[in-house]
Amino acid sequence: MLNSYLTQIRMNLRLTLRNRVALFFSFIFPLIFFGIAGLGGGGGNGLQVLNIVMGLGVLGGGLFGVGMRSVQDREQNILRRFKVAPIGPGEIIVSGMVTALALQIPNVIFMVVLAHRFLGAPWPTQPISLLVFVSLGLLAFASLGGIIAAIVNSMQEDMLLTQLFYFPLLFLGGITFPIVGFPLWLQTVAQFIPSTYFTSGLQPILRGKETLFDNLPAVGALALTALLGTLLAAKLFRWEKEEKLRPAAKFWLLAVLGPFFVLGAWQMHAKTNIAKAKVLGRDVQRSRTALIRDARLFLGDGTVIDQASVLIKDGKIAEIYMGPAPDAKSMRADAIEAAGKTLLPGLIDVHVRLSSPGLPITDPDAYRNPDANFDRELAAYLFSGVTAVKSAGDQPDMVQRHRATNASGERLGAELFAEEPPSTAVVDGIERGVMRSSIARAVGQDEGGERQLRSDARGGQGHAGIHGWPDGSSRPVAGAAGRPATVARAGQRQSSRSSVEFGLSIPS
Amino acid sequence: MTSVIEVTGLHKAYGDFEAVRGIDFDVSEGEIFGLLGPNGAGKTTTVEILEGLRSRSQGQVKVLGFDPEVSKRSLKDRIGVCLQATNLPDKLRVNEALEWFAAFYTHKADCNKLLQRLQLWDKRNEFYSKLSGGQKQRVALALALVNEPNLVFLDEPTTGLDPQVRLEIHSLIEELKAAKRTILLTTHYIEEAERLCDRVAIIDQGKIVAMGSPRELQERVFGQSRIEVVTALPMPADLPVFEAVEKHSLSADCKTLVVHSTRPARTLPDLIKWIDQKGLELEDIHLKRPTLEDVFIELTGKKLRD
Repeated sequence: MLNSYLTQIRMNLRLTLRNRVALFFSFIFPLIFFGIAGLGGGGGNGLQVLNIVMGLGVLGGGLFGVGMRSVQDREQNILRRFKVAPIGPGEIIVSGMVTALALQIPNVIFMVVLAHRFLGAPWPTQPISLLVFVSLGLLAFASLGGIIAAIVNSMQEDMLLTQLFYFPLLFLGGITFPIVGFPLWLQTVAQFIPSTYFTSGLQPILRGKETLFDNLPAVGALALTALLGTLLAAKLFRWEKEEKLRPAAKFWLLAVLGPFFVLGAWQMHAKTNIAKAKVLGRDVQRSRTALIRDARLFLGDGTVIDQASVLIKDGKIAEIYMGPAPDAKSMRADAIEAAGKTLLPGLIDVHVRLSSPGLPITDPDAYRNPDANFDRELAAYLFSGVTAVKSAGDQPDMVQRHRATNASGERLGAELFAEEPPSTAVVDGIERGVMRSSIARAVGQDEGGERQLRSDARGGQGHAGIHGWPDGSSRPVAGAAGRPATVARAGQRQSSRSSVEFGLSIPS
Repeated sequence: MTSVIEVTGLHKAYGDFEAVRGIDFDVSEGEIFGLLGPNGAGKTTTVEILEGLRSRSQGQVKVLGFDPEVSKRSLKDRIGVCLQATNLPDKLRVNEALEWFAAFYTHKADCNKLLQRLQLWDKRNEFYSKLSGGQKQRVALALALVNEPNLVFLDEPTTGLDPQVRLEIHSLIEELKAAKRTILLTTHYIEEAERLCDRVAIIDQGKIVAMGSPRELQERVFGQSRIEVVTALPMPADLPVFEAVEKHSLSADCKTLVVHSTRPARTLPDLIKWIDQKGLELEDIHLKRPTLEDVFIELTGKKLRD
């Protein structure tokens, strides 16, 4: 039995490797894509290129692989020969799937190596999650291809239907570019598409930000689709082209997509994946390598360098270069020309109130929507070069919430830190009651929030002055003048990012 | 002799259409049994039921002691099948094809010996697409023998092949017979059945209309020879009564007469004498022993090949 599977897989592999078209799309095509990306200045974002190439490979390899082979074999009376051997449809489909995996997994590893070697992408820090997730995606797309093959009556019909799926899966699913750029209604539509869940899991896993376990709904839906597709493809399997299927059987296709209809419907309500899409889109932007060239640089300790360049890698300051700027291309970085401009560390405002609308107040309704005020004010701070603020007197649960959405990148704004609650907020008994329940909500919301509240309390600094930061760290300071400085400290991503975008807006 | 195939009262209906309407036959060990019949007679349906590829509507079937509908896999594991019009992937080499299919079976033949026996040894590393029609058919036969089956189903094994190749395949089948394999053969070709089969069943419209050895069939159906006479002048419609003649027929222009006789040695001189007396001028005369083809036409009213 095992021998029969192994022999089948071995023969399938040989046949695929002898097929020039299949070889081209599996191996040469990604190479060409890497070449174009490398030449076309996309070098600033090796991980993103890798993400796209992997998505293309897995979607194409899955959708056009196993299913199309079986239609071709049926049309050419090859399956007829297998029909009389002691072997069932399940064995044929399963060995086809395993063959697809055996072809694509080395290919995925090859792509990772290429991206690392030529585009400067880091090695994946979650390799197991990555391989398992990519395999699940491949199996899900392959089973989709398999069920299409099972319900069509000719090769033409198969090509047509497969392509009808391929393009929406490719473009709407966010494989080629993040869906955050779409209008909201289209983003909602995308939540019904399998590849959306594939990309929203692949990207953070590739970046080492998440594992399989952070993507359980996606993992579940992909696995369920793979399973349903395989079972149905075996059930509807036809050995001969003369056997026609009842037209109603075509609706089985919808059953395979079922898990994603469920996920989509849930997302219409929960919208967590749409929020995640924003984060993913932001991650793509943030992970670009950029070189800010020839700026006048304020280091924050009083030192001013008249001509310096700053290399930003994966959202962090990687290097500072004195004197004339180095070549950006040789560093695989996007060049931002800043000659005649001044680059500052992000400014920090340690005492802000964000839930009130600010002055002058013309619209009394503005008080009724503190969340909107939060968002607007944080964005405004960032726009003005203030990259971090410390809230004094806002409700702790609201602070926690906005801190989380800003830190993830779902919203763009100054990084938010909370004030020690008891020393500022307790004014009288009524307000104390309000604040306590708010603290309780914050604590209930997430453990991180509770930790921060506790550490804020331990710090015991009150709102009176500029001291240490609530998390106990000191803020980033680019190294002393005269030598390149390397600063890489967790938690500073937001501020360095802000410097890139907004520090330059201050005229020299 | 033990029966390898036993079929009793087999029926198969597709919706309202009855493809097989009550078939009974047995095939003994070591026998080559032929199923003859025009297209749509129910041959393929019958064979596919025996091979475990189709379910039956009614009746008892035992193949190698298995009920094909119940023990599909065990049955498929023991039989060899050569279907017509099957293909293999273009870029598959001959020896790989054998290796691939051998992996499915419990009993495996020695693939190298099989390749030599089927004269494919020189072609063993060739891609399937590069083979000639005859070589492809030999590969199909090799695949049917890859599990050393005791029962082999050959469905139209020589259809579409040129006469030379057909003869090659025939001698291969004769070798199989010599090796005591039981073979169920379906064919369109009368000569094939006459040459290869120990017994033949003629199927028409889902029923067996005659069964026996080719010689028995010829004798049972006719027991008589056929004399064909062509004259220059038209013959009178009122023929005299000849001894041993059972029936006769005259063509529309009255110049061709066909006579069926149980004693042709007697009838022939009588006929010639009568034509001479009437001055009809004999142009042509044939004495023909009936072929299986004649049997077939007689029984089904159809030609075997269209």
